[in-house]
Amino acid sequence: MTDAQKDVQLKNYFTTGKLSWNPRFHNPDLIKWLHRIKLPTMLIWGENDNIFPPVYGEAYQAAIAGSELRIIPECGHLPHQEKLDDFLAGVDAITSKN
Amino acid sequence: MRFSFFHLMPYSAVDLDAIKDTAWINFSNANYDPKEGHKLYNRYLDELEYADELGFDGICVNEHHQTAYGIMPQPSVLAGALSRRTENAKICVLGRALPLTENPLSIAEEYAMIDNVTGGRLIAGFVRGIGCEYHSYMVNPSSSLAKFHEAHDLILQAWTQPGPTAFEGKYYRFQYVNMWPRPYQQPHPPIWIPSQGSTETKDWASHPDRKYTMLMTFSPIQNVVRNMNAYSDKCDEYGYKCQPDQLGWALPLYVAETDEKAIEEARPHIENFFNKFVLAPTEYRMPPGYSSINSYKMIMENKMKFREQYLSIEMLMENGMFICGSPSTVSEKLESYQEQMGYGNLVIMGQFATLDHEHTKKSMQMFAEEVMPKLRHIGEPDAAAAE
Repeated sequence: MTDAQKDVQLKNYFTTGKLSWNPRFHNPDLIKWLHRIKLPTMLIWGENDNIFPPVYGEAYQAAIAGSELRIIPECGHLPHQEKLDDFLAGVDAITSKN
Repeated sequence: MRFSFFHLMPYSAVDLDAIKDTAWINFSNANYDPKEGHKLYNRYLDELEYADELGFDGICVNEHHQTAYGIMPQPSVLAGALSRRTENAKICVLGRALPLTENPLSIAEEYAMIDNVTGGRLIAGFVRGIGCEYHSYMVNPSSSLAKFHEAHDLILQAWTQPGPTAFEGKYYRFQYVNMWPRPYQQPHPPIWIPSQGSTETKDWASHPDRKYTMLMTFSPIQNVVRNMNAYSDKCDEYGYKCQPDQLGWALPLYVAETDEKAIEEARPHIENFFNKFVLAPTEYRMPPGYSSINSYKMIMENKMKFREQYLSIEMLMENGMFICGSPSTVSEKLESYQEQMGYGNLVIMGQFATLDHEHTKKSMQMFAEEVMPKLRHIGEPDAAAAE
């Protein structure tokens, strides 16, 4: 890794800390608002997401009436990068349905 | 030279084998026995009071949270206890961690009370708190430096401006700053800034408006020398000459009858200190945003790398992180280092990790009777510059 790459990595690390220190990586008020979503909703989640495991997706789905949770196998936190085709299939499914 | 005796108050009764990756943050307090804690608090206070009897110029406590490393999460409690049991020594709180509190005026009040009770024997230490504290208290490290500066400004306003005054900051806002009591020392107690040597701290502390004492803590000697010299250079840049009392060095130190005896008696305890009690992963010690990216890289390179290995007493002595030996050896080393750095305050941690009461007292007494008198004359203020 070059010095410039190390600097970018550190900047990312610092920014992540700044944005997510407390509350740690979540918004504790979110559960009070999710139920107000009335639009058709698709939740796309990586099966192996170790940052926010699929159990979070299940909680979102329960909170948003009529939403669908699609778990993508062998995928981590970034489905749109790791499994682009599966991600787009999910987007197609929700947009074509409506 | 001014000499102070510093206590970390470690939980020395800890089962050392229970400390695996860290003695901090999430090292379970199931490992703490209050009956042992009761004995240790009282023993350690006895040692600080003994330092006053021996003629140390200052006795020092400090703040750490959730750790066996030091059981003083609220140091002003113990400073208050010492206020009435000591007569001459300055009471140095090194220091209170300003950004960790939601209301810095509570620190201004604690300090002013100690200063009043002692009739002006308080030295007020301001720190940001080491990285671990930001995990324990869940305070965002990225705002640490800005909160530190703002809290400092608020405390100085409370101490020096007749109230009531208003304070409007980004983090703290008060309609009525009007502190009772006001500090005994005017315009305010001396302020010390314990530091690991970040550029931001040196530039800020040495500013002509402040001229605060920078106390270098527990660092390899080349870092201490470089940082003290950089502080002095910054004073030159600001247009004045750095005085010895603006520079302090804090380190563990042990004295015995001979060099060999000192090393033999201190070895297990100083090695426990640096390899067990200090133990914490890098991400605990250096949370993201705690320092600038440049300071982060510098500290990682100069300090953390050294701590990744098992540190033997020989390595610690060679790196100047621990001074140990006969009174004459210790005196010679301190005098030689003083010539290189120009410090006028020496803060010794005479009890470390598992060192017992008898050896602590023996070393303290030997230092006070056989080392301090030899070094009193060095590190005194430059009379011409002081005028």
